[in-house]
Amino acid sequence: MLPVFEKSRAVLNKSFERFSKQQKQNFLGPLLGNIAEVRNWEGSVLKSDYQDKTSFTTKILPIGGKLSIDIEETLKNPALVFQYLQQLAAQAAHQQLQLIIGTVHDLTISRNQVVGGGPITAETIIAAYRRLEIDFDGDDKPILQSFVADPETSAKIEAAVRDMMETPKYREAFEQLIEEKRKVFHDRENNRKLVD
Amino acid sequence: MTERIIENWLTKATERTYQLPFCYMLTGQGHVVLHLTRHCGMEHGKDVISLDQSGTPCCFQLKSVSTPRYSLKDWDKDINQLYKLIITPLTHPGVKPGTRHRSFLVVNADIDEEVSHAIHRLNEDWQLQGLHHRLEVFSKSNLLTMALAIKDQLIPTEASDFRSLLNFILEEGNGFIDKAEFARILQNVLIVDEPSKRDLERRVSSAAVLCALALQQYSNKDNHIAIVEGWTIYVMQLLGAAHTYQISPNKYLSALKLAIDIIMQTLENLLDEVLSGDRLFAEQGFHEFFVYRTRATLVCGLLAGLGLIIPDDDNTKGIHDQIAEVLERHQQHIYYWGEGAVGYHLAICWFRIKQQDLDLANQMIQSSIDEIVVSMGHPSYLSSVYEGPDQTIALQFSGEAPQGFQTDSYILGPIVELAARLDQRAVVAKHWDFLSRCHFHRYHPENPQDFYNWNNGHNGTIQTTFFPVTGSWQQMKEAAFLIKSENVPIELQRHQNLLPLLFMVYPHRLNRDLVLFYHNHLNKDLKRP
Repeated sequence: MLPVFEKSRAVLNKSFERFSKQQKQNFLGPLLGNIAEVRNWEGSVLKSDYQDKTSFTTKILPIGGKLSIDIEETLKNPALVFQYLQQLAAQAAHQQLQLIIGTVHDLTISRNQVVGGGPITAETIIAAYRRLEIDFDGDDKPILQSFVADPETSAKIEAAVRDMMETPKYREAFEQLIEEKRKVFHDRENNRKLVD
Repeated sequence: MTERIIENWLTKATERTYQLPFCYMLTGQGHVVLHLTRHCGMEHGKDVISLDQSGTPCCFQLKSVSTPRYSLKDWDKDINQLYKLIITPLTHPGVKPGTRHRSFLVVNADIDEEVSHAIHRLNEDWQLQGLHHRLEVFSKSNLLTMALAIKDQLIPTEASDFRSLLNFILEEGNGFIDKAEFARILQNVLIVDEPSKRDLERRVSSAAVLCALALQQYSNKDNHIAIVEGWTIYVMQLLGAAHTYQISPNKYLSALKLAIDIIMQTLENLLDEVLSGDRLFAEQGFHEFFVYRTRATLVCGLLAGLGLIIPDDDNTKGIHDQIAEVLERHQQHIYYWGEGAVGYHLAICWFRIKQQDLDLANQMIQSSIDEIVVSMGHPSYLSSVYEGPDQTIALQFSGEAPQGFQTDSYILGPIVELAARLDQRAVVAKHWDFLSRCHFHRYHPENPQDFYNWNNGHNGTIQTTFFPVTGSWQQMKEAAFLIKSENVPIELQRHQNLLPLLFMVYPHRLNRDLVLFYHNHLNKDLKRP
């Protein structure tokens, strides 16, 4: 057989891992790209059993991509490999994005957290926050969840949030909601203890 | 190739390292092994006692020489022990008093002609005197024949398994064994499609000999921890085969007992080594300071495990006291390097309970929970229950350790439930803010027999549970008494004593039902509520 360049292969594999991770973060953006990953060493199903006796089950799916290389072209121009690897990393990132969105979608339905269905308005935003558990920081300011959406939907959400903050009726409703959430948060945290 | 591998192993073996494989080879030939010595000088030259297929007791004296042949010089040196082997009556509860026994000299080399003559003359003299005494010999060629009789199951036929075996044989033997690989090659010997009853029996012996073969370098280096891990993996694979093929306990019990014997003997050797020095350094070098506490935890945990396995009576009091002394000396270094450390912490806690020292047991649980919670809150990498200590330290210093969710745990739930069982409210209340935000994971294999596999890959379910925001201590305490016995494999219900070892060697199989089941068993033994 012909010799394998083992040391080079090991270093190149490591480099590709780093490159792929960077590409994935670029593709997913700062929010999704920095979601911590947990390695599942065993099992094909994740099942969460909540305190309210409900459960959510999801399958563990592998993430990967297929690489087809034009050998002749690449031998002439080895730098082409980077393009191929970029494609591969993009495929993996795309799969991961689908997986995150898909799981969030399924979980949202399972936990009865779906709002709207029609156009995105200030009322939709308030309804969305109403469904969520909101935490407060040390200064008692709400730690509001971020919206993740495609550019077109993002623009609609931004407009709806602006409308909510600028229209007194909606702003008042939102502030009242935050006040309610603050109370719920403090009730919850004051009761976060072990009793007899 | 196969013959060369086995011959090489035999040539390098000491009587201690080939004793157990020899016993398994005997069982492969239909013997029932009644006893194997721990070389404590009380055995009257009888290293191994068995009953052959006709029920005749057989006593074996094992010898190893580093030269190719067993010479007259060796014979002269061993003659007194051999006389004891032959002449001293056999006293064993499994043998009717006064029963005549057959005597065997077993040597891992060829026998010199002069020695053969000497044995022949000795046997003739006895015959002429009308005595029934007789010495029979098992030399290297006999041992090779016995091993080769099971070679089809002994030496892996799959190329990858064969390579793994060679890798183990060629290892330096001074580190840890690759537990996943070790389990895989043993499993491939034991688990096959529709084996016959006879084939299964052979496979049980073959896997044991393979185990000894693969651990050869570790045995030569007296690497006790690696040997214990290897044989514990054999035990788990044996129980897995028993579950898969519904083998009744009496059919695998002798093989299991032999493996447990070697584990205990090795742990006693570890105890001796630890007691012979002040510190637990393995070599010189600055890196020792980064691994010292982890090594101390492994040693203390395993020795506590020995204390849990051996019965508590006058004969073993000395060993219990020695283990307590080691714990006393090294307890301050007990460390939590990652989720895999919990089995060692639990063994120490249970040993304290067995010693009736509940204060120390409770302190152990409290400090374990404290340390786990502090470690989980720390930004540095905390290894999962699937990663070994060496792997963890290497990752921590590589600068490439991944960042995980610091609220996920496989072991915190079970240990908190044990704390509830021990009524340790203060430590649970102290950390409730953190505990009530944690995700507690547990792996459920798809099929019951898969429990015994090292890793089931893409098979099974990871269940996640949570504590409520407001926890009720009363409810937690009540829950800690409820065990789903269907979650405890039947073989482990029969051999509960093995559970602490399992938690140390297979930490990813530790779950609340097994932990509480063992705790119940221990309390029942101690006649505590």
